[in-house]
Formats: sequence, C-alpha cells, structure tokens
Amino acid sequence: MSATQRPVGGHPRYARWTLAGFTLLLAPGVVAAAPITPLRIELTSASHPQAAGDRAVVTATITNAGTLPLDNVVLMLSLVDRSGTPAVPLGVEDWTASPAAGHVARLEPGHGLARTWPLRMVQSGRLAVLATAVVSGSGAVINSAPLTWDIAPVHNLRSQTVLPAVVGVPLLVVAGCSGLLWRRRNETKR
Amino acid sequence: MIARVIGLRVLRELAFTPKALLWLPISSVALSVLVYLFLTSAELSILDQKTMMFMTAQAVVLLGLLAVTVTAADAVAGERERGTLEPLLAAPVVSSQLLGGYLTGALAMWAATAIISLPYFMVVSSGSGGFFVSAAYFLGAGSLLAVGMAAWTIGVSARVPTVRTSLLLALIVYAGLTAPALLGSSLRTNWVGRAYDAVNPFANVMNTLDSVIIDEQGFAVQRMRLKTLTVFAGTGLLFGWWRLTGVALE
Repeated sequence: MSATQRPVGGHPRYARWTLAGFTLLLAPGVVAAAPITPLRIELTSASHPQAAGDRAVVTATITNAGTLPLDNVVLMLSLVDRSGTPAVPLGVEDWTASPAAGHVARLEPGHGLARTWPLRMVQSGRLAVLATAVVSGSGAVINSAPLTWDIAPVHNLRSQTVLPAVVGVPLLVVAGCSGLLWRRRNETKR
Repeated sequence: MIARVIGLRVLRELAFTPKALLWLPISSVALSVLVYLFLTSAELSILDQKTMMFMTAQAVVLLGLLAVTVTAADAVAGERERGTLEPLLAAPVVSSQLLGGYLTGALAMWAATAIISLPYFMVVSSGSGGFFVSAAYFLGAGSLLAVGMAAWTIGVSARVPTVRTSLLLALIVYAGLTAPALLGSSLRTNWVGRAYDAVNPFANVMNTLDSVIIDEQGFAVQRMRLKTLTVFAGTGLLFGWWRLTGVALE
C-alpha cells in the first residue's frame, strides 16, 4: 500500500478555462511567489490492520528532490480518529513504542530519510495515519496523503466472565472484612 | 523477632480497624466499576484488550501506592502521637528491626490491594495469553515501587512531630510522582520532562507495564527501568534506616 502527496479537491467545470487563462498569465509570478519545497514524502504500510490489537508497520520516506541541501528536517507521524465529526487527533505514543518524530540535521540533494513506526491498533474506529515533514530552515511543511484503515472492535470481555468478578469480589472482600471485625469484637469482649 | 512483633502490631492495627478495613472494599468497588465500564461504556469498550489490561494495572498501582503511602506516613509519627513510641523504644530494639516492622505493616496494604486486583486482571486479560507475564511484571515492578515509597515515607515520618504533617508531606510526594506520569506525553517534549520521566519511579513502573503489556517488549528493554526502581527502593531503605537510627537513639 502506498500513498504519495497529490492535490486534493477539484474545480467546477465552468471555471476551468478561466483558471487556465489566469494560470498562463500569472505563471511566472506564481512560480516566483510560491515557497519552493523540493521535498517529496511518501507513507507506506506493509500490512493492512483490520481489528483492534492488530499490528502494522508504517514507513515514511522523505527525499530532497531539489539542488540545495535542506537543514533541520523533522519527520513526524500523526494519527487521527475519523470515526466521528470532527475528527479527533490521537496521541502517537499510545500506539507505538517508537518516538513520534525523527530529525535529520542536513538532507543533501537526492538523499532521503526513512523512518519506521511499528503500530499496535489500541482502539477500533476509522483511523487515518499521515506523515509530516517540517523543514526548520525554510519553514516549509509537507504532508503525505493519509493511509486510512477501518479497525473493527474485538470484544474479548464477556458479561458471563466479567459480572461474577465485578459483583463477587467486592462481596467477598466485604465478607472478609466483616469477619475480621467480628473476630476483633469477640477478642475485645474476652 | 522484634521486627516481627512490630510488624504484627502494625498489621493488627490495620486489619482490625474499621477505618483501615474500609480501604479494601473501596479499592474493590473502584476496580469493579472500571472493569464494568470496559464491558459497557461506548468509549472504553472499543479499546484493545491489552490497553484495558494496562489501565487496570495502572489503577491498581495508584490505589495500592496510596494505601502504602498513608500507612507509612502514620508509622512513627502516629506512634509518637498516640504515645506508644516510648514504650517501644524502651525495649532493646535497633533501627533495622523498627524499619522491618513498619515496612511489613505498610506493605501489607500493597499485598492486599494486589491480591484483590488479581481476579479483575485475570478477567480483563482472558483470551489474550498475556496474563502471567503481565502479572509478574506488575507484581515485581509494583512491589519495588511500594518498598521504596514505604521506606522513604517511614523515613520522613520518623522525624515529623505529627501525623498530619507526615501525611501532608507524603501526599505531596505521592501527587508529585503520579501527576506528571498521568498527564501524558506533552510533558515529555523537553529535556526536563524526559529527565523527570526517567528518574520518576512511578513513571518507570507505568512505562514498564506499557512496554510489557501493550508493546510486548522483552526484559532487555525493561532492565534500565527495573534498575532505577531497585535504586529507588534501596536508597529508600537506607534513608529509612538512617532516620530510624536517630529515633532509636532518642
């Protein structure tokens, strides 16, 4: 499974020609004004987790496609629960033992940085995973396209096993404590 | 022998006092509510089973450590306030015997809480295949933490005039240890937070349980954390012994 960065969204049909005209007219200016981010980012996963408790290993790779070196590049992983609206960001550290972010002091042209996160699906729901690269020098931020997984819940707890413990243990503890107090009272009487 | 007598006396005071006994049903009911919510709550029931196991262990360590802290804070300061310390010191007792006796009493609360929690832990981990390993780490790391906390608190209690002061100091330490570890990852983003996380014994127990139960990592990963806990327990025992030496000389 692979997902690379691509533009999101579309334009209404009637606006296409207008947009094309503006693009032709303003192209040199746009190119000059837009921040140059010669960074490519790709997020891949070797497996497709299906249920809570499953594991997946995701790898994010950033490549410097430009001609100049990039200083202080940070690569981080983000998780979002998209089961409801609005989506809820999740703490990465609950899902993996690896640090959420990796850092490289200098990324030479043509070189890349890959970072791998073994993830354990600690809850069910619609999970989106995405990688983000931040270039500290230029302030450029680039996101990968998200990997989206539907994680099914696994109900291992059953009322037949839970309820006896939930009700029985407090009753046993209360009975034991009452017995100790009763013994104490008898000893005091003697 | 004297340590055993002191231990039994503290145990009797704990076991036969209605107020002290109330702690066990309260712990049991709290764990029952938590496990029942795992079954019925819309938000908690979607959690992975290993996460449920970790949360149960976390709750037990919090409850057990609180019981140990309160009991240890009452050890010497309580005896002094009740006027039972002087007759005890009239006997030929040395500081290691005093420490052993008070530790027995304080750790009994941890043992009772841990025993009560095992059925819940067993139910929550049923079918996961990780009960024995998780329980071993939970009991081992939790006991090291309990020994350290009890010994340090007994040491503080030895030179404090009243139970109230001793309890207040102990609870401040308890909050200082547990709160940052429970507040999550935001505090670990800078070096101060990471350093505190590395030396905080409670955080070490939580990280060990997280690593063993959820991430299924082996002993090699836990070695450093267990060493830190052993150092905490060892220095606590030395501190308690040193502080009780002064009391015995009184």
